Amino acid sequence: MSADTIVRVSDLHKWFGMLHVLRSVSLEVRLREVVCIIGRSGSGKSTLLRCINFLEEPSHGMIEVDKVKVETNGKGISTKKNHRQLIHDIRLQTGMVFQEFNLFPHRTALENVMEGPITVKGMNKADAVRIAEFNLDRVGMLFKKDEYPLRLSGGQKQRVAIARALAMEPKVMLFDEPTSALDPELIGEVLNVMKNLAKEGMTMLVVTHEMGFAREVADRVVVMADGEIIEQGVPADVFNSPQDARTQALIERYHSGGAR
Amino acid sequence: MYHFDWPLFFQYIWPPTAFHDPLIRNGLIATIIISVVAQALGVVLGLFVALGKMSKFPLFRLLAEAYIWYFRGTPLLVQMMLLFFGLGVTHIYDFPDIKLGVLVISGAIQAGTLALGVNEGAYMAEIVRAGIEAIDPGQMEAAKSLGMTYGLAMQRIVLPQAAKVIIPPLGNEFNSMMKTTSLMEVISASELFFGFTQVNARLFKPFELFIAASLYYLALTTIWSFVQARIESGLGERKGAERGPGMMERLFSGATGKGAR
Repeated sequence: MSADTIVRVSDLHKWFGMLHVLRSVSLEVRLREVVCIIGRSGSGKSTLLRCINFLEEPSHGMIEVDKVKVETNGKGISTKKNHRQLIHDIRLQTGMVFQEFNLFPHRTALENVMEGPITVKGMNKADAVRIAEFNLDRVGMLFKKDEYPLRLSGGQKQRVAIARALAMEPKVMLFDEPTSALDPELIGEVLNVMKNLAKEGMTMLVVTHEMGFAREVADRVVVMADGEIIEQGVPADVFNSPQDARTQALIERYHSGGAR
Repeated sequence: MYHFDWPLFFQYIWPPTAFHDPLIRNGLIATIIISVVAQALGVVLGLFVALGKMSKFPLFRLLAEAYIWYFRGTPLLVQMMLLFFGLGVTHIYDFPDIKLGVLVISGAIQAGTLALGVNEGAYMAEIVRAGIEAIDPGQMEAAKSLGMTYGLAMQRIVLPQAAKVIIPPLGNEFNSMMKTTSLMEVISASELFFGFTQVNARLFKPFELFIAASLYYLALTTIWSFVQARIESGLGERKGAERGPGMMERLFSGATGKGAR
């Protein structure tokens, strides 16, 4: 483990009932690194991401984000109260962007972004407005700050959702298929925002089917299949000379235009 | 051939003359206040029972299930008599009068209101639960990913959205509640219907007086349905959603009210 590791996942297992979706996954992400996780549907890549901020409780294994370490043995090793506090600490260090945006429909774009700083961090309203406007501007959505989500396009919603996560000033951003629910012509604007974030040096963990994005932006590509990491490396290696047969099939499909 | 006593009938349906009789005036006021208090109690209890039923702790789920099972599975009238006479005779609680300045709240009104509210809580629990479950789980996840606790996410994100789903059936519950308060007549709580039965005991004109009584309830529920339509169209406008059923539809569709339980 190198000194600038910010996310560490070790021997992670997740069962949904009888289904073993994550089978001993270990992964380290360094500060400022952009890691794209690719793989077919059902390979466990979203579950891995959701375990990192405990939207799914891991069945077994260790998660560490910015020196906050939570170990699970299925029952939870730490005392219940401490366990919750640690999960809270991890969530404060991670921002998450969802496939379905999950904007709060009863709040305007600005209010969506202000919600976390005000209710979770106890920030006063003036500061929260300032931070919210700064982050909406960062994703190019300041001009729609007073609109309700209902009146925004999918791409605009996702950009507001990114601003909402950024406003909490997380150390790591988790993206769970951020463009999969978008019409093709709206994907570009979201990917551009993500590229800019990467350029700013944000640490990003991106579950995606956007092979072009992974190839262009990722520092490292992680390939998952059947609940395991089967291959990882710099994009050029993974895309040009995949080792595992399942990776080859995935890349093949991309090159033949089957996946974007 | 029955001789309908028109003068008496008019005297008791026309508020300025009917209100000369304190039994009617105070009864009407009591009915309105009891309805509001019992409904409010029902909403609060319903919220907690609904959260209990959705809890991850089996004990809370069991308690909530048992509450709903009992209070929806037994007659309100029996619950009310059990609470008032049953608790009284055991001296667990005697329902003494409560004095609030000039206002005296009789034991019967306390017991009746409590029974109405507790019973309503069981029905509201299902309404609140349906409202919460109508909200996309992604909302809770997004709130949690920002670091909100379950309670904060409920209060700030889920419940305000669920309210939109909860308010229309809540309005119907209140309509029902105003009529159901009349059950309190059996424990001699001095609400509107008790007032009319007392007048009837004096004059023995049940046909005229009970028609008059029914018209008071009709007036209450009709006024309420106007208010309800206003509230719901307000909800719809603010959220840019569809409007609820219109005034006429609500009054005459017959599908909304449930009648006394």
